[in-house]
Amino acid sequence: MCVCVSVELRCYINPSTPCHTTPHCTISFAILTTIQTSFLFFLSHFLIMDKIHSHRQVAVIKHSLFDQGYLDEQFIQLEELQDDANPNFVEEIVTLYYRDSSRLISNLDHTLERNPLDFNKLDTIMHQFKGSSSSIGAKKVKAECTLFREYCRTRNGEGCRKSFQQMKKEYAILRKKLETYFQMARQAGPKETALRPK
Amino acid sequence: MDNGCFSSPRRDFPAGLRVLVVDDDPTWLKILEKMLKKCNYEVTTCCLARHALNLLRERKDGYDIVISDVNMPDMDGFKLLEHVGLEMDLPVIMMSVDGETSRVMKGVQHGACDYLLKPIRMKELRNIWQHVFRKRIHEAKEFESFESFESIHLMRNGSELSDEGNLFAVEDVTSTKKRKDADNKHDDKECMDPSSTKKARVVWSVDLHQKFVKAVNQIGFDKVGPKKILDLMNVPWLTRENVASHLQKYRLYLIRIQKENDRRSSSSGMKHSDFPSKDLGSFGFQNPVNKQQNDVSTDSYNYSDGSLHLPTVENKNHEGDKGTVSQFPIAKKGRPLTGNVADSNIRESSRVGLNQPFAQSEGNHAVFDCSLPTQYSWTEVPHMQLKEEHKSLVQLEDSFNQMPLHGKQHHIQVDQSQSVASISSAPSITEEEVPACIEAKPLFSDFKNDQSSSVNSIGNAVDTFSIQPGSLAMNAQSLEPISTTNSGLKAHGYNNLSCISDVEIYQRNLLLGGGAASAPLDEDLHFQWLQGECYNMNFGLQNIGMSEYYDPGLIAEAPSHLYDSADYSVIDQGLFIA
Repeated sequence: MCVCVSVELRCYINPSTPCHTTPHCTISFAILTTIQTSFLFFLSHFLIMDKIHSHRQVAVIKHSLFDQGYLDEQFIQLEELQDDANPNFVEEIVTLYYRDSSRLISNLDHTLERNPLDFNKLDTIMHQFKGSSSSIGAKKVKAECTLFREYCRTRNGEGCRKSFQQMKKEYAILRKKLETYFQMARQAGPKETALRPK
Repeated sequence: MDNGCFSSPRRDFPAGLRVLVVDDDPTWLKILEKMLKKCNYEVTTCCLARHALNLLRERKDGYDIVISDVNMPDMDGFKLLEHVGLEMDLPVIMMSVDGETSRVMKGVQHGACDYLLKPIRMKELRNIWQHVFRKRIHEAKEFESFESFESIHLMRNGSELSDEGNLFAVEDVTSTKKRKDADNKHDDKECMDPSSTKKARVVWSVDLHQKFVKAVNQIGFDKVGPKKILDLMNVPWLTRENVASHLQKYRLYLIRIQKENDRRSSSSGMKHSDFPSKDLGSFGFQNPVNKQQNDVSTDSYNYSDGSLHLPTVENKNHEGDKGTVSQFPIAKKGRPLTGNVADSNIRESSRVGLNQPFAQSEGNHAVFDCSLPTQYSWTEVPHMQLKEEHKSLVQLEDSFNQMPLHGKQHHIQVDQSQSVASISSAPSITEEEVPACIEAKPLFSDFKNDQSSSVNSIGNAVDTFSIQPGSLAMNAQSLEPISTTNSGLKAHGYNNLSCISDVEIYQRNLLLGGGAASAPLDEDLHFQWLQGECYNMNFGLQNIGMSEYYDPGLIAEAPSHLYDSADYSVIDQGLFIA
């Protein structure tokens, strides 16, 4: 990720004009024109920097998601699938996932309210949910699913409930983070994807 | 897709591979679709297993490979896997987030050609084409091995008996193979799927085979294709794969018959008018044997006055072989027909081939053929089978005008004895049948010398040996006990019958096998036959006077064959050494 970021930054920086010194140089020549041009330069500089910055931000966010174990390699796979034909592929997939998995979560909720607990059914639903979560690389969520299934196997109702709560938390956290991530990525613009090696 | 002939793999294979993805998880469905599209495959997605099956059934040749999830709400993934394997014989890849060994094992057991764990990587999907390719190659190979079996036998026979005939046969086989490869490779692509489990085995009953032949004739042999045949036959439970594999065998059989006919017609003196029929008969007979293998060619039975009863499906594997053996003797007077016959047997598809000859041959021949096959079914022919075959023999014999032996038939065994009587006592061929067969051959060859037609030969055999009915009966009796003791015996007995018809062939075979049975003398034959009997008769039938007939030369040869190895290969050798 770091390498990626640095490469990105390099790419971002290259096309832009070396900005820092320009404003100073121009002012010394013709005040009006220089002010104008310098202003323009400044503006472009800031825009570029801003762009670089936002791309950087996006990269940072993504990096942290991986670092903190929210996402795994599958997410990268999804990003690699993104192309001109599907420029927002990853976001679409994630949206689809959250929509479909919410159904499973409510299903789990209902089944957990029953008394006595139907562990087989719980296990089946969770199996499905786990499979779904693996599609976007939701690492922490998947881990909780595995724990949940283990509690089902040992017929530990309390463990199931606790694990389920934890899983829902992770599920929600990831959702937020990904939302932010996609937002920033959209703001940063397509340059990021254009730069991404296909 | 086309009915009969698959086009060879696309030029840009594996690009354009038609994949059907089945998964209840919409997220994964979308991901897989995108991944497969990136691999340049043609993707169809489906979230319900039932829907997927419908899609597959609608367009039988519309997909190359199926990827399916294991856990689906409407149908278990394994069940879907089975269905696809049975009906369409396509490679199926299973997917699951659960990678437990037991699950993976279950998948493989049900016939999955691969089991992927979710999350699935692109690189794993890139290589799925290998399963399609492997399947195609395998089916082609099966076809080839089938053919190679034939060619091997032909070669064997040819080298010993008559080169030209054999060479011809071999050439034909190879050319046929090539042609068939092109035609049938894809046609039968699905018929021989080793990976798929629980493939329903189709028993090609007489009726079914009749329908098949009718359909083929209707379409025109040149334009025939499994799909067309299937449609014409209008048998609901029959699948295209079944028809394809059956067609393959049928084709081979026809080719072989043709060859033999050609050869026979060219052979001097040995013109058997009924060459084809003979072969056919044998073929048909074999089919009964083959039947066991499920292929029973109805053809053979068809023409055999309809009296031929399709042998009960025996478990024998060698049925096919048997058939072939019988066929040859009949077909060729000393041609390596037996070899051919054996080949077909070996092929296991002999059914097809066998059946054909029957269709062509007259009833008479059918009779002979029937008996022959029984003989060969010795390898495993259960008693039942033998009995039935015997019965058919009896029936056949009855139909035969020329069969003087008919009078004697009280039982199949008797028939056998009749034929055997002419030869000697009923051979008590044990499961090692082959030796018996071999022996039968020499006898037959003797007969062959006498007459051109196998039928005649049988008659001749009778005449030559002038076996008294009484003696025959005696033989029969002696045979009977033996038969009862051993199903193989029965087979042997039957074999004898068939042998008579295939005297020529047998003779050849014997020669080949024993290398000694050259003397086409009836006597020799007789001796040989006896010898064969003796050898086979572990049960003590030897006492029946075999000893006096022993021809040292023959005996020396035969026994070696007999004892060398009871196994099939040896027998084959003996049979087809020619």
